[in-house]
Amino acid sequence: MLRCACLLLLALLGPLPLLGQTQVVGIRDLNFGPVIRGVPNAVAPTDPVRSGQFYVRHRIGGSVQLRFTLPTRLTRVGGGGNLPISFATTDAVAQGTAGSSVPVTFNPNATQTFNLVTSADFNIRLGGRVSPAANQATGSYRGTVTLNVTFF
Amino acid sequence: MTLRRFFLPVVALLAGTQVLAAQGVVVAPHAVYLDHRTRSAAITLYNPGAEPVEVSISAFYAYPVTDSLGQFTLETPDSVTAGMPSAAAWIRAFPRIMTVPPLARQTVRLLAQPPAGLPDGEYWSLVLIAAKGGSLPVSAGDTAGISVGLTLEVRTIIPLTYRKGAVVTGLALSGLHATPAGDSLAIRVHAERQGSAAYIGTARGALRDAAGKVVGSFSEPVAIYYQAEPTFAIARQGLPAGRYQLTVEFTNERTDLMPEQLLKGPPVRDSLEVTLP
Amino acid sequence: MRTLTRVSATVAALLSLATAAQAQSANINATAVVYQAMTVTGARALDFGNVFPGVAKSIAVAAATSGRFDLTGQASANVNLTFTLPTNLTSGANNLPIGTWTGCTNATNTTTGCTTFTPSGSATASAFSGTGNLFVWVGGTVTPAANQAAGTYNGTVTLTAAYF
Repeated sequence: MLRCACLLLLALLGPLPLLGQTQVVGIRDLNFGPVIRGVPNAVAPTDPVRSGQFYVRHRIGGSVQLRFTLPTRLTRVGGGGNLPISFATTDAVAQGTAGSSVPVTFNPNATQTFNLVTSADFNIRLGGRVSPAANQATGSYRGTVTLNVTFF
Repeated sequence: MTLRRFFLPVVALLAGTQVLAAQGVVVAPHAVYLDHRTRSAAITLYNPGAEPVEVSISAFYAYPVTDSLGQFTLETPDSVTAGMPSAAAWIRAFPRIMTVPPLARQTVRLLAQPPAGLPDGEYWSLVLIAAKGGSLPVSAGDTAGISVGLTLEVRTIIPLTYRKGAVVTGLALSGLHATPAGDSLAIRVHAERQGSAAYIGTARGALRDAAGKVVGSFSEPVAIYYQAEPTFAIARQGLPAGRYQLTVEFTNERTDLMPEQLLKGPPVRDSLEVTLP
Repeated sequence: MRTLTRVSATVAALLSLATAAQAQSANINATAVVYQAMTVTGARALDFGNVFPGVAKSIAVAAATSGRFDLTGQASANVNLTFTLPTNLTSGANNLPIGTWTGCTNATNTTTGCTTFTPSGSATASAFSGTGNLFVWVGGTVTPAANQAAGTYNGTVTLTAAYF
């Protein structure tokens, strides 16, 4: 009887998010590549090479709340300067892995909640914009983008 | 919000960038380095103007020397012989000819296809970027008379360096001297490259009075491919007559180049006692 | 009763598992490489306006219609300036002689106190300012013949700037 009751409950609840099934992974860096002093450089979230990418896995029927921690400046490797970076309201795109999923553009500066309808997992691509000053120190600059995901 | 919703992102690249009423291109980096392992590099062209710019890329062999006045100029051999470290013949640009739209950028990949058995060493070329844009505005002429206007075109030349195997560089200084020239002190020094690679760095000089206080200085990027005798200047306006100590130092430091591109060598220094009238 | 209790406890555990929020995070890097650039632009055409047959007309470098090139690059770096200059301007099949070229360079966008030179196919040594700027002005003289045909005469001045 106990086993029957448990099976009934499992059927009613649907697939449960076992602890090992939720996943957030940083896949690809947001890479602006060569930047010219004094010339702003933007990477579109749809850029297949230079956009940043995260992978999120949950379950169909579940919800995820996404909150980015975005840098406002990149730091010169070895010291000696900062490079301003900004993110526009359309700089993030989420798309489920199911064939029928379509991309959703959202504002990476604000918290977003998604209900997973057709895909249990999805990718988030992130664009951005750096604005080097005319006297920006040459060299490599680096910063960290963090994606915080809460699974419901 | 669900992932069913469809929204095409539209990102205005470079929105807000100032459009210049000029024609030409921005070229970055301003010096290209390749090595035998990767054999490729890229330059970025950016059109800051309001008109499309036609760009063509070519390579030729030349290297900087100094003239009789100590000014840097290019030495272009009449012909490139086997003993010259020229990379010009085997550097290819992709694309070689292109049109860069207004406020757009174009990446040009430079690929090296060196001959088999290329000995270890450093090889040089110059990359010429010719930009031809829309005509600049000239005044409307009197259709019954004669009106004259000339438009401007630009070409940019940047150095390219190809390294194979271990290469080293250094510098030997000799013949430091200083001569009053107008309101400046003209300083010249003979610099001869050591090792197997060009000496790319910065020349700095300081003029100190008897109390050791710096009363004048200079700092200039230098490129010594073989040998050179460059002229530097320190303003001497307001300096009282007397004896001064001049020090000159060459280092491999450059703020405009990536540290990994610079060959390291010990700083070289020379000094001289100078008497100002 | 005992069975019911066990079932209730299991339901509670499953519900808890199903509804408890879990938080995870991941990082990526944002990277950029800033390069020094070299910019050479033709900023202003050399404009003689209207000229008259048999009357030579000169445009000085300080004139409002002289040609101007704007350059930016590495501060204090050496740069060679070489010009490709026409000897004739053309209007269809007609030629109009041009020559007596004049030039001037300065670290700021003013011809006051600029350094004069004669533009030619031979290199003129110059240097970027301490802030990486260089302005180059070009003037010249056109010499229309007494029977110069009417028309709009055009030509091109090419500046080659070499950094090394």
